[in-house]
Amino acid sequence: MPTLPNDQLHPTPTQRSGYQYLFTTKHHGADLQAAQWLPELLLEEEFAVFDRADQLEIADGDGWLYGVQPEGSGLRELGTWSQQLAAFPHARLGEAWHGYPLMPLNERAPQNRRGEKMRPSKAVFLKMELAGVITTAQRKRLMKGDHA
Amino acid sequence: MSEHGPMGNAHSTDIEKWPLNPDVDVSWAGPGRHTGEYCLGTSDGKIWIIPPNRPPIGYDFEIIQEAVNGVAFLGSTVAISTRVAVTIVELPSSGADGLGRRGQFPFGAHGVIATTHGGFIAPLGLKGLMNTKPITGGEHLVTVTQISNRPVYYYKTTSAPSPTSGDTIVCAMRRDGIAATELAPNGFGTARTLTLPGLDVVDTCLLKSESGTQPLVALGKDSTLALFRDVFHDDAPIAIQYEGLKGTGYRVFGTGDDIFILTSRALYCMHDLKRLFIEGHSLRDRPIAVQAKAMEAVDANLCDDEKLIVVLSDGVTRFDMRTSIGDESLKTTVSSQGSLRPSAVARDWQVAEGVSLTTHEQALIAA
Repeated sequence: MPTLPNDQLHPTPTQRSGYQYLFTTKHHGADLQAAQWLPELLLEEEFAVFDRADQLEIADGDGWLYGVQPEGSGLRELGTWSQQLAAFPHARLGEAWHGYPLMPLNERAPQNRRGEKMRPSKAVFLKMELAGVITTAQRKRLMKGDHA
Repeated sequence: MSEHGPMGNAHSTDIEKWPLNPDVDVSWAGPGRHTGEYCLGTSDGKIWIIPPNRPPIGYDFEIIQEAVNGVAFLGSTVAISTRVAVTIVELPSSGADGLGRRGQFPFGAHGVIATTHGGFIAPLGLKGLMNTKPITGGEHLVTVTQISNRPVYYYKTTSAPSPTSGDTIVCAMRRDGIAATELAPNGFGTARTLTLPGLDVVDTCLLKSESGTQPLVALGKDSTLALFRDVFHDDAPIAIQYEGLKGTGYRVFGTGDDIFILTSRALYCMHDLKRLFIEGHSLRDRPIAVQAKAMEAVDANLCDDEKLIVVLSDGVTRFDMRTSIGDESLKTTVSSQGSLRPSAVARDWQVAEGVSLTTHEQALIAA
């Protein structure tokens, strides 16, 4: 993979907002309970997903960013469980962002979710479609947890 | 119940493309409660039941806010799955208003199916397979079953009455292949798993056979077809790629003599492939006549074993799979010859017999 021995900062910030991006050991082999980026995905490709999400402002109401990587007429897999969406939780001003492949289903009971809603929201999928990142059919499939 | 139907200018269900109202964003379509009846699920959690020759009936479940990805019926009980939860609701009897008892299983699913023993099965991703069993008072006992000591992804399930007893349940498990098991009224037996390295299984379809075996066709994300003469005994099922199938594999169906494949680019009919396979003909070098209709599909389901109802990016289309094949709509052939040859064949499956399963009881939350 890129299995990382230490967290690693990307050398350049995002083009639009100037966000720093941190490749974390947690999502690169250190914590197998956590979502893992696909081993074949280069760190530069992971950053490109984040950079594009920022460029197109694919964000939810909490400021999280979401990305996909189009590949041919489909979407590239980003995670070890065939995830095709990546989430980048909002980082406070001056702090580096990080991200991980997002599972398509809710797998945690409500008492463990502390009021969280399922991410991403429908509005995020619509933003992706409006930005031309995904097609209408892909949006409808991703919204129900299917591969696209 | 909703007052405004999903249909636009017509209530007819006999036309090919249904005239839906523009504000109805259909995410799932499939069979209803009875022969000739259809059901639509929408991206905002509603379902529409479309009886033959009667106006559609809409249900707005306030507890479901997500896109419907599966609906299954057992009498007046309906199970609706989304990426967030599986909801089980008693529908009102004809003419009654309001909904009856309802419960929600608070984990997302990739779909839901009904079994012959009166329960529902839903694949829950890494969590396992949800299985419900009706108990007294309209309640359901809910269990979650998974392969012991081996994390796999439970993606899509299909079922058929077992040749022996109960139901045959097959689960597509993405890169872990497929798992086949029998479900008796007292629960699951052991499982048989089959994995072909590199094959990403996204859907399966149990085929009808009169030989007492349980044939199966599975679809890879790259549209590879895996054909099993008997999913419980076949040690070397054949996996075939047909050069010329375009798009990402979504669904596979076997009906009549044919196999149908739905991809992100088209609906393909592989003529006679089911019959040739069931009859034991070699498929290794045999060209298969293929017809295709280009479409931007979202999902599809087989209704009454002869109609395919397809959710498109902009509506819903229905095909009669027995009579439409020769129609103009499916005359876009994939090659000048109208046939495809296998471009790659693989048989090096990893088979595990008697795989133990672990089952836990779970709570259905009153909603």
